Amino acid sequence: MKGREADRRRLRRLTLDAMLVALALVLALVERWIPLELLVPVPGIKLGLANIVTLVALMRLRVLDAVAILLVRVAIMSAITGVTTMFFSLGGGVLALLLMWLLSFLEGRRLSVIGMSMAGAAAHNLGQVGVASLVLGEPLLLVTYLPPLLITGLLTGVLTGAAAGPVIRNLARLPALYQEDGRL
Amino acid sequence: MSRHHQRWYHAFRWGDLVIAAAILFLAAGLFAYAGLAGKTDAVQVVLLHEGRLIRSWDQDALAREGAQELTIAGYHYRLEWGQGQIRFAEADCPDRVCVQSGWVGKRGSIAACVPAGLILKVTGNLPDPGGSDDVDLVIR
Repeated sequence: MKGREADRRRLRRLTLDAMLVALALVLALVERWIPLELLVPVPGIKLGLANIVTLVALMRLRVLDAVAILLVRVAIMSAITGVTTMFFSLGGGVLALLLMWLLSFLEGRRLSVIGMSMAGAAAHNLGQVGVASLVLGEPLLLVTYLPPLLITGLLTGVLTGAAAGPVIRNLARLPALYQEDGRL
Repeated sequence: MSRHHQRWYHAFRWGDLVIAAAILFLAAGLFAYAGLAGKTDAVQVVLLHEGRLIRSWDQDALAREGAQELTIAGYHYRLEWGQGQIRFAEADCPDRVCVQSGWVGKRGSIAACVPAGLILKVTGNLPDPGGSDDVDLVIR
């Protein structure tokens, strides 16, 4: 019986992973339609809505789920938008995930999800511009493009962190996903 | 009050402020570095594709208004210049970050199109043209 229950939970987790991939894809596509650069004239500015999904996966699932969701999302997005953007998305996404995972150990009294999100946005921008600098062999890109993206990333990080917070709180109450002791 | 009804800003912790301060410090440092690098007058502007020189403009050429259309790596661009500045006016690349970069004119400033490997850069010296002539480029 215990084995069957564990199988069920694993299946539910896999289903939730797939749903989060779909949600991240929708958010990534929707934000491409929002002409944020008309409102804030910063080259390369994005809301980073898909980061909400990464945060939720990190805080409520296992780190491997978050990695899998990120990799599948980037792979599918690159099939839609072109392979050239894959390396930049991957560079930004992996660096953001790594930093947010490290910071997740401090989450609680010292740090909130909003702080994790701000750090994730900065890491994402650093990773993307860093990969672009490496590919083009032009370190000047970091000096030119990164500072305004870091500052706007603070604001978008607060927004995505504030949006992720209630989802993270309420997902903890889904009994179908968790054992009685709170573990997955 | 239950956690459900907490205002979103009540979630802030002191660690969040430390992170925000660190990010602002990094941005300020990079801004300062860019400001120092851009203090000297521009000498010329170069258009590079994957590190190879495609075209350069000296200050006299930049002072006169002009435009040029080109196709590189399957993407179409329109460059415009005048009054000592130059920009990607139009592009059909996927993210159009090059167009959003606007006018560049100060030394050390740059506009890049990453999908095409294209860089428009204000520089002091002409880079070595280097590489082969095998560039997928059409200039009109």
